[in-house]
Amino acid sequence: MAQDIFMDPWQSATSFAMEDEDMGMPSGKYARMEDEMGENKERFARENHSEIERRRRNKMTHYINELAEMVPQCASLGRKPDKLTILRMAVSHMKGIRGHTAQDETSYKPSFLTDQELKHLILEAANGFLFVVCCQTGKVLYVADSITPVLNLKQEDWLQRNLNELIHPDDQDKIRDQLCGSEVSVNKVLDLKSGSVKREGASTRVHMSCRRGFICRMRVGALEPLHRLRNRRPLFQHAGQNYVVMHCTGYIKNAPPQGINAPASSCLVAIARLQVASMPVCADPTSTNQFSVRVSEDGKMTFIDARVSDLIGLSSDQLIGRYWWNLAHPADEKTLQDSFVALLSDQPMRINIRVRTSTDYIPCTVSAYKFMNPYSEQFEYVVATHQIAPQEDINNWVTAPTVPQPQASEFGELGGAPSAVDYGQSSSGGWRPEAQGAPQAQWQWDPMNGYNQ
Amino acid sequence: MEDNRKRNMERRRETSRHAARDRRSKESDIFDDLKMCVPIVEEGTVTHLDRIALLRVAATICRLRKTAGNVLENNLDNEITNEVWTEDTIAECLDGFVMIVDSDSSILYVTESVAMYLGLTQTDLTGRALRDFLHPSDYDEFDKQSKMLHKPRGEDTDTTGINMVLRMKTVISPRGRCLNLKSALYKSVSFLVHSKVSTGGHVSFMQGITIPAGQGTTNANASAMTKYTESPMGAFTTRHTCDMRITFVSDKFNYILKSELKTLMGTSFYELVHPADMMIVSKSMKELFAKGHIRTPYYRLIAANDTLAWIQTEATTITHTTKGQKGQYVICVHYVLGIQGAEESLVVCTDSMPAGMQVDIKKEVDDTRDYIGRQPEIVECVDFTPLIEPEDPFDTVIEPVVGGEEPVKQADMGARKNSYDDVLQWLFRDQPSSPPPARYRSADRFRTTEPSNFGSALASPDFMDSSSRTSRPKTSYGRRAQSQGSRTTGSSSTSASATLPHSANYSPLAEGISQCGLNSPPSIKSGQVVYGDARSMGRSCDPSDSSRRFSALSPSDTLNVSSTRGINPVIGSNDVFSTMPFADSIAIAERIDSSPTLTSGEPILCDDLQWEEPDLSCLAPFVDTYDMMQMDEGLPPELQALYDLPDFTPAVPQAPAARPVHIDRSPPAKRMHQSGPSDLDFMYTQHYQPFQQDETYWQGQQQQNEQQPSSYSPFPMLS
Repeated sequence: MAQDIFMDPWQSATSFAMEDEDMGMPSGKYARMEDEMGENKERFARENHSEIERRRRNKMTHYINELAEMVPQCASLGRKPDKLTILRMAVSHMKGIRGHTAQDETSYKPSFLTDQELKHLILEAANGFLFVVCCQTGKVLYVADSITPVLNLKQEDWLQRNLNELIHPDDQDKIRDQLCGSEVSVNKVLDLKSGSVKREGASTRVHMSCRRGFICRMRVGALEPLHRLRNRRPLFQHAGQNYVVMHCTGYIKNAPPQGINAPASSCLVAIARLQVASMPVCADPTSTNQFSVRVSEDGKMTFIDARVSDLIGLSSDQLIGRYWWNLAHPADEKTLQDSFVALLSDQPMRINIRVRTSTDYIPCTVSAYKFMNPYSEQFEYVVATHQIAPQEDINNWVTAPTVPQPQASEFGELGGAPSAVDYGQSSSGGWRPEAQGAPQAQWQWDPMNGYNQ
Repeated sequence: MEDNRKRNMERRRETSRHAARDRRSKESDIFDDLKMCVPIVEEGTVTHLDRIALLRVAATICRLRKTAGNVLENNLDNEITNEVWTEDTIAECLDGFVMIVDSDSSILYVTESVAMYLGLTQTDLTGRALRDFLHPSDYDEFDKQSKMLHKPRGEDTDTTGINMVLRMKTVISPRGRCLNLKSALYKSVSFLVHSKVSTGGHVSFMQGITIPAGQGTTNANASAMTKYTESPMGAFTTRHTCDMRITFVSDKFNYILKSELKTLMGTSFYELVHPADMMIVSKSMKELFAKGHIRTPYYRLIAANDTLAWIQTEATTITHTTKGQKGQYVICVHYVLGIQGAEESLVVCTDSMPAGMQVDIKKEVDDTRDYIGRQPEIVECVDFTPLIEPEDPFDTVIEPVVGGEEPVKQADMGARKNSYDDVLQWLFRDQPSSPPPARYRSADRFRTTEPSNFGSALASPDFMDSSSRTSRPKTSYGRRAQSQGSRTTGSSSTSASATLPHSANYSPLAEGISQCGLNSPPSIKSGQVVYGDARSMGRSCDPSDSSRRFSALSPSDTLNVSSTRGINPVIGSNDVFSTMPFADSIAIAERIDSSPTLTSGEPILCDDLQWEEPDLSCLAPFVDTYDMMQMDEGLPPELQALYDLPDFTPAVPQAPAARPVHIDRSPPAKRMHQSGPSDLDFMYTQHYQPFQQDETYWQGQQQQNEQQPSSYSPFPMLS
């Protein structure tokens, strides 16, 4: 070990101090260097070396001082003890820490954390818990109690059950693959060229053969206590159960780990982690009545959230390919179009307009931004979010007595004609409402002067 | 006097020497003791392992206990099975390492497994400043972000954490070579950072995820990933140019996103992202180009059939050199988390109503009791053959284009695979890293080419026939380009060619085809039938956008599609746009090709189709792009009738003109495994095979394929 060549800092310090005094008197091994250059070189080398030594001594003192601060016995001493005392106290302190996990001296391997602390660390740092599943039966042999804070399930909910029952039905195939424990099947690889199954040769990396990593959806208990999950997505539902996305990583062991009472068979030891930070917040209360639209450069809508059909009663199929401002009330059309143009020239956009519904117009806040290709900085499209005003606000708007209900909206089911056909037919011609025909007073357009005339 | 002094000095030196020796031995004893109780990794350390390192680790342990002791306390049960929780187990299980970092950024603890991922050992790292091991610009980000996480004492501790991609030093090169700490490389590690209030202020729990060090380049790793994980894990690899146009997508992933057989090649990936999640993706992508590797949060892709696919993507930029050409591209591994109906993903749960139904744990416990009596289900593992995507993107790229000698029949089936390669190569050769060139109108581009002589027959039924054989497109091109002048009417040219009054307008296209056909590699597009989807046509009226798209596609791509497109009957769409006459088919083709289709129509089995509707692309050549724009906006429905000239409709469904478009319904595996590209060969030899010969073969092929559809289930797992 390096310790053997280690020179005591104190000793070296004194020796160098002495050498410093001797500077300029070449002697000993340096004597043969006689010219100026040699002397300079020698001096540089010495200075350099002494600098290194000084830094090393400083480091050493720094850490010893830190030890003095961190070891409670030293701190309680009142005065700063000498180096050896600090070290002795540190040793006894650390032996004390180890004392918590009293084990026999021979097999003892010092470690930073106890096993219990490790479990806690995994829970806290990774939101994860450990589980062991038998590869043959798919039965859960062990699950840590840290499952409760993660999934809000009890250990008993998992123990001795088939993993298939605990995960989303769509993921069961995935899991079955992962549980393939035997090396035989793992080392077999489908040859991509010939389509035949081959035994993988030397190219197989060791970690590939037994390591496992997959993402699956696991059943989650009541969401109430897991308050941070409630507004996070995705959350999957199946047969009345909620499922969350879990990242599982682990390895296949040929026998169950120690401490688990199970018949000898290969099993999967894995940590399942819930990555809350990766889950976007989707359910802030206002987002329920908003929908997003993608608008191309020429102002046409190229994608509309499916939510639009709930919110304004028009299906996205009906709307895609139309101009964005067609969505607005005729009187607001110009506003929207203008702000779209402004948006294209890099002005942020946030306006209040009225948008069509199948029967009506409702107030809505539109905010949009321009999406530029992150690499080429080219314009890609505009993403617009339409925030429908809350119901009470709508009432305030609409209850104004002057507001006529727009009857002749093409979106409506008026006249019993299939509205989709109506819509499509008119759109090629005059779907864009001739807003000019309507009076400037926004809500006083004449219903008789329908758009299709 | 002198002697006395000298003796005196010597005696003093002697005593001090003794004293020093004594002290050193004591010191050495105590260091030995210290070494016994400090966990130190002696192998593979980069830093010099001396007493300083020992002191550093010892000081860190004491510090960990003092300042962060409280955050490690927990109220979890002390289980009997605690032996499972050893550090070894955790190191094996995690795909990364865990660190505890103090508020002054010194590393208090790191799992021993860090050596696997960075090459730096626990001893190298503990007690040192995290800053020393981070990329300088990333440290600032880390510092800022973790400060934001710190909450004043007493407030709710942060339980969510944040994701960060930080570049850390690694002393193992991708090839497994060991490096000096001074020449260390940077490696992107995705961290999940939690902040905890500790007695000493704040500590950050950092869980890092990365691939093991020295396991090859990211590229190789992605390739291995694909091999092992495609489909069983729901992980899919795509490759993109830097502006995220797709240059490779596996059939299965394509199928998830588009249930039709419309390829996503050339499509901008951003077109697939749900607009509501665009911000997330955009931020991640910016990070990707800054750091080289990222792991996105979960986001949604617009998938087929009105569904949304929740995805987490691991993206890597690859600097790629082939044939002396340097370029960059992006490889993404998409993990499909699950597919949701568009409505389902929006379900909101509130305090009063948690999402879905309340889970009754009590009831499940009862279930357990029932279950215990039952026979456990045996999962058969031994005979399992993993479902592996029968294509290796990385192999296919490297494969040279072989001007095969195989018979044409074989080449038919192989053409597609071959064209995949070619498109990829073409894309990377010509536009590896640069943003697409300035916008130009596709029509202009072709107008500048010299007029061609054989344009007149381009849209003739010959053309339809040949390209209706979807899997042997190139052959038909070459043949077409060479023989068109002479073949005015083939056996099938009964209808369309005779009724093309404006065919001269089309000649630039023909020129383009002949050029492209000869000069550029065959492309994939021709291998797939693009449905005349009403939506995509409607959306295609987007001149500027499309011209940009066009630049990312090879000319042969677009032309191929246009030709393929030309013979597709537009089926059953009641959208107005579907009956609109369209502009020149170049424009149509490129647009259809590049714009993602949002309809989720079922794939149409074209084998059963008759010529029920006029083929719009036959009309297309008459209309200029500019005209199209006008018509699109303002053409009254009545006028459309003018374009629905009955002449344009092939009157009698007679063979081979009436033979419907055939789609290769065989499983992707089958399609991909055929090889033998002889298209180029075919063209260069100017060899013209009688069409009938192919036909007989083709019919056989057709029958064979007709048996396939029922078994074609590209991705049963997710269905």
